[in-house]
Amino acid sequence: MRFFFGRSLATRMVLYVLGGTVLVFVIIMGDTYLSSRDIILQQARQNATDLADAMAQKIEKNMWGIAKVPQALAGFIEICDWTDKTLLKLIQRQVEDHPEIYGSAVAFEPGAYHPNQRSYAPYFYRTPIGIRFVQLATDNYDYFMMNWYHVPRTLGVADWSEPYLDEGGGGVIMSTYSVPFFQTGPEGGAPHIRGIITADVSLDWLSELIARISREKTGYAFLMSEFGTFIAHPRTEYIMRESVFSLAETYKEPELRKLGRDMIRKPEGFVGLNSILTDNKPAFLAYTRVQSTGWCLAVVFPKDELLNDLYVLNQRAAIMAGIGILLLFLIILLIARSITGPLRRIVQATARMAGGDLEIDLKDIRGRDEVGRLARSFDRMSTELKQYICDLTEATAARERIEGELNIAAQIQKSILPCCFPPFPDRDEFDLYAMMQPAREVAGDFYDFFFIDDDRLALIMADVSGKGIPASLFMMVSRTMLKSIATRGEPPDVVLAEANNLLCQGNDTVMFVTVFLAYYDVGTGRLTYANGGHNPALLLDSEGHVREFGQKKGAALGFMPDLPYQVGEMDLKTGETLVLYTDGVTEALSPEEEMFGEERFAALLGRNRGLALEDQGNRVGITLDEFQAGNQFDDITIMFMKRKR
Amino acid sequence: MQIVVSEKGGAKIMALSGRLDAVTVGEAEHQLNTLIESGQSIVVIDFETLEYISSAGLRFVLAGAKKLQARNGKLLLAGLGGVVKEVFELAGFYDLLPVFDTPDQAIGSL
Repeated sequence: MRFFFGRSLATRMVLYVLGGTVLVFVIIMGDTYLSSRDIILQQARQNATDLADAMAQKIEKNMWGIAKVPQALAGFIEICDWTDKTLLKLIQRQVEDHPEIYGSAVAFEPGAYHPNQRSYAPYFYRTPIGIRFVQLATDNYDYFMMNWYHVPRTLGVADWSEPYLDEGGGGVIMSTYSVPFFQTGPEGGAPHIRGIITADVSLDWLSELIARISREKTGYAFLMSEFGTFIAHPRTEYIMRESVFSLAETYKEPELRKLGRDMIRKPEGFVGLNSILTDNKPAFLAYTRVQSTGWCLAVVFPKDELLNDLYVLNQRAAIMAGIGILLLFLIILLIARSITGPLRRIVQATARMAGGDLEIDLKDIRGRDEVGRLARSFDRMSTELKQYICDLTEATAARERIEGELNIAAQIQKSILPCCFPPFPDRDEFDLYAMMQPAREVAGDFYDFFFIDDDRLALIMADVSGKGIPASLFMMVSRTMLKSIATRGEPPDVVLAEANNLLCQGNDTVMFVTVFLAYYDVGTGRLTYANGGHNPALLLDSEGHVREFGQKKGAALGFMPDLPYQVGEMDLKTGETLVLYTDGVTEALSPEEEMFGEERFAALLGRNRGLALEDQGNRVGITLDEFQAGNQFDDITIMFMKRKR
Repeated sequence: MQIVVSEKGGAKIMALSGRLDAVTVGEAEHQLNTLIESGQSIVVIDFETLEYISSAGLRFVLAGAKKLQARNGKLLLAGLGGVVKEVFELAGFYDLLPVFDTPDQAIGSL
């Protein structure tokens, strides 16, 4: 699908919206994760501390419960009179009655039991087959030097021994509680120690307690002696074999050594660590002191276990976010398609339109949105374009028709002007040539010549004001009138006056025509002429001299009726040429806006006087074309009539 | 082609300069028609600075004269000289139209 690739609108929408959404999701999830983690860790710390405290108290309570038994015996021995037999019995009963007490001894100071006896220490202990008795005071067992005796004897207070492994009793971890008992001095002096009562206590229940926590709760607990030796630990291989310091030594963890010292010294604490102590996992460790024994109870919460819920929660959120983003992606895709689909159709329609096919239909793209509006505008544009092209076609057709008609008009005009030279082949008295170069299709200039009787040749040179169709229409009317009046044989001034009156009738647009009308008597060479506002005529002699004549006053025809015109006369000698022209010749403009002028025209005529009349005419045409640089503004009309004899 | 219209003594003076030919005559016609249609009856055309006038220009003057005449008004010409005067003379209109040396004289003649 091309849709997914390239820099399409859909791709950009998907990228931007999804990018933004993912960013928002990540920020929210990150923030939630961090805050939740803080809360969980805080709770974990509280839980760990509470748990450690609760367990320490429980241990404390148990230990006190056990400690009370030998303390009670000590009190009895101090206060009551007893015999050897009752003493032994009491010791035996103590072991029998308290299953947690594994063994018990009453060890006397030298001579304190009997002056003759240096040492006396009866010991009862539990075996699978019953309570057994043994006398500890033998020659090769000097109990005075043993820790269980020596330490409480020196300190004068009861004391729990460092736990130890009792190999004889089946590898049970034991701790011995030693209570000193006193004897009042004979002279009522300070009481002095008479001996030590011991109770060997199995610490198996500790392991059980610790193990239960590890089974039931997140994390686990362990118990250390006041020297850092593990008394209880889920890793049984540590028990009595390793201490926190030995681990620090073995695994080269100076930090752990420091922590071990803190755990022994401080009453409680909470740390985060990643150590062999926590199975090389990031974890939190809460510890607290068991007051009576000086042991340290620690609770370990591995971080991953603590945060497991959070991970699960986060995972769930991430999955939800993923599904949400996927849904969003599909929705955006649908929206984008609903936009780009019509857009693509519009693009295709544009391409088709550019190719000239206007038959496009986008009516089925509905909707009030921008795309719908675009489609509708586009539809409207194509309709209007069709209409425009239709109009244009019509207009062009109309123009072509007008142009065609103009061409026909030009042809009619041309065909009306005599254009066959020589016009009177049977006449050898004169030569005649005339030409017209219209500035536009149809001209306002015209010339004419015709015999009004056997001898007189009428010559007309005229210029209608303006150019184009209006001028040419007026020209046709003028020409017809002049010819019809002149044919009657009236003198030129009368012809002009009559034509003027006729042309003035209903001439609202004030068209006017300048006319030079001459009658040439082919027998005598006499010219009779009248000038209605036209430029003068020229006479070119065989020497090349040019003479101007005929500037008799008389207004152009068509403006004001009842105007007088004057008649002039002139004799043409043999070899002389009459030149009639319109101001299109002399007022031809060069690109520098310089007029061609009478002088240049006269000089041109003089130079070409030897040529045939037609060639002379053509020369004038060519020269003026060059002068105007092909940009002819006015009609150029010229007529030559040369007297041959 | 430049046209400056001014007013003096109730008459409008159209001062033309440059070339008045088939190309520029439309503008002059428009100005004159505007004046006539606004009810102006006396119009003086000042040719003092006009360089050239063609037959189309002539026709504009004649048509203006006729139009004003039809409304009992008058078109007066002033400042005719040089080529322009020649064209008027040549076409035989110089004697048919009221021509004055200056616009002031033209207005004074009324």
